[in-house]
Amino acid sequence: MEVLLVEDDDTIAVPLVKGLEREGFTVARVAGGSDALAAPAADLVLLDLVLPDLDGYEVCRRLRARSDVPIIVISARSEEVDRVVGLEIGADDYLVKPFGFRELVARIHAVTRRRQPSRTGDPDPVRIGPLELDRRTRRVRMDGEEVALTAKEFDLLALLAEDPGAVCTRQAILEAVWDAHWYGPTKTLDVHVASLRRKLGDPTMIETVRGVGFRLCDPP
Amino acid sequence: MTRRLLLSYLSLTAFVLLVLEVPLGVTFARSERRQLIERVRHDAFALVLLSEETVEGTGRADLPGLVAGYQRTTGGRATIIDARGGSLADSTPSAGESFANRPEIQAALAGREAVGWRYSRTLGQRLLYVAVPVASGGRVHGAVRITYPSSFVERRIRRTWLLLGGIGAVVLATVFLISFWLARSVTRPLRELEAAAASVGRGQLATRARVPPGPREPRALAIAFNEMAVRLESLVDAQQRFVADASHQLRTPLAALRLRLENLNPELPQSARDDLDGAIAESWRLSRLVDGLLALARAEQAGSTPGVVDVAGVVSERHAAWSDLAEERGVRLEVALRGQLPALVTPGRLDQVLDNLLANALDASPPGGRVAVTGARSGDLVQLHVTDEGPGLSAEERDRAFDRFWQGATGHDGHRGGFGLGLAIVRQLLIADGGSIELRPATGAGLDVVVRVRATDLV
Repeated sequence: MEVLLVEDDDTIAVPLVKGLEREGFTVARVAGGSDALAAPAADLVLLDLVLPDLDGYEVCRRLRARSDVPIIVISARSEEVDRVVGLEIGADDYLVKPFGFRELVARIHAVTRRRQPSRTGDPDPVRIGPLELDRRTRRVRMDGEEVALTAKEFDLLALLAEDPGAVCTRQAILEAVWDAHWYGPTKTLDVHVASLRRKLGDPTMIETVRGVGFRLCDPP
Repeated sequence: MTRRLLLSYLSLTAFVLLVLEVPLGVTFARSERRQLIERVRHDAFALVLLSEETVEGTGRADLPGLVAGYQRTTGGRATIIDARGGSLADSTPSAGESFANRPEIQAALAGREAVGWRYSRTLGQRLLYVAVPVASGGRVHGAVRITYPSSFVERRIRRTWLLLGGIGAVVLATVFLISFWLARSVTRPLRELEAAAASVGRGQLATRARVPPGPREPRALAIAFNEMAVRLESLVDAQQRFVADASHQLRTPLAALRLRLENLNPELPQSARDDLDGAIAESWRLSRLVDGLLALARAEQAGSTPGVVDVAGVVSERHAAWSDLAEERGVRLEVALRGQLPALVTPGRLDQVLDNLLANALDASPPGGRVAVTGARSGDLVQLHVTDEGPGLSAEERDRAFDRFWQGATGHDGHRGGFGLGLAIVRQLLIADGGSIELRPATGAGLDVVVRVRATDLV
């Protein structure tokens, strides 16, 4: 997948390009807004809001005006109003710095999946023991019975289901599932895990690893 | 202020009226009495002239007709007395009465004119008397006496006092109206200024006071107030910009650090992975700290856009969200709220406050313990209690608990992930909406967190 990275700050751009290439993306990087508008079409745009020549929002608006390429804004501004403006003028997602590659890649996949729902390569429903999780339709079944989950609960379960048996740290979960840089008691995470356990009807499916995080148990 | 101005205008007017009207009234009364005496003396001498010859036995004037006519026209009682003190004619006859014992008659029969006031036992009131001898050639043949009851003159004097009082009342009423209008116009700039100050106090920093035309002092005050508001606004603006800049300046290097650390991952030997994970976790903690400080800074300058929020509804929502976790921990989470509790808070803030308080309460609770949320309206406030049965806090700890970066002893589950910003943020959010938060020792052990928000009647 070809990614266009619009970022003027080398200290961010250099490691970002390196990491994305390691994750299997082809990355073209430009440092300014006009270069971004002149660049050849890409499959996805990562757009910083603070650019030397043009305002990031303006670049976003113009890109959106001429194509429906997925755009993820990466910004150090975490104000609610910035997010809202970014999403209103056509960005598909808004990611606040700092972020990890895991979160970035998850967002890239989520955005492209939303953009092209019929794309082949959509993941098939995952089965882990009695649990069946369909990322495309965002449905979960337990022993064939549909379980009604909130958006956060589904995202949380989907994250744990990516690698059953592996521990997912609290940090990784908070970053991937919660609004980046949402600031509240981290215990909110435990609240959602507890309600997920009850809804799944099997408290042992999600195991707490004290002081580290949670894992989805790989049934024997 | 208006009342005080009114009071000073009115008391000044009342004082002036008193100083002017009382001497006027007193002088009037005195001259009224003197005039009456003069007139009565004049009348007495006239009666003497008219009756003289008849009293001396040489004329044949109609004495009873004379005195009766006098009383009819003037209201005074006239009496003509012979040399022995017997009545020759009396406009108010009293049978066979001798006047010889009256002091004024004795004086008149002795040839002296008598004028004065005395108490009359017969009439039961003071009276004015004038007695004049009827004499010719050195011999006294009789006397003429005229009396007026004092009520005759007092009535006139009282009427004058009433008139003076009426004028005073009209003056006072006029002064009241004028000074009320004047006081309102003097205090209007102050009232406007008060409204502007209250608006700035509520966080609307762009509010300016109208600079009133007219007197210098209110003008100067309004101008000074506006200068202060401009300065305040620019300071707050600067702080907001600082927060935004700091957020950008801190997050960019943190992002670079994080990405570079993660890029190291595939290149490091297994033995170094733990250190790398630790470094990434620390960079994550640092970025959480930046988020927390920014959240606090935002809460400190948070405005208030209150709406009507049903506290009972929010509590039961948060109860539903937290009950599964409480159950897992073996903690009973109980809510006792009846009916609706409408309050004025910025929507969403109370949820945030309760999440923080419930997180703290669950951390503090031992398994088998109880966390209770109760609430009720008390006067103008809705008061919520979140109580736990944990170890509680000492008085000193309770004092410090709202300080930023303050952390109590580790929670029951030994997890200590925060930075001690939660309660500081919660308090700022409540203060912005005109509420408050207080920590008290719960009965028995544990902590009783009291949250107060403004109650309202609208639902």
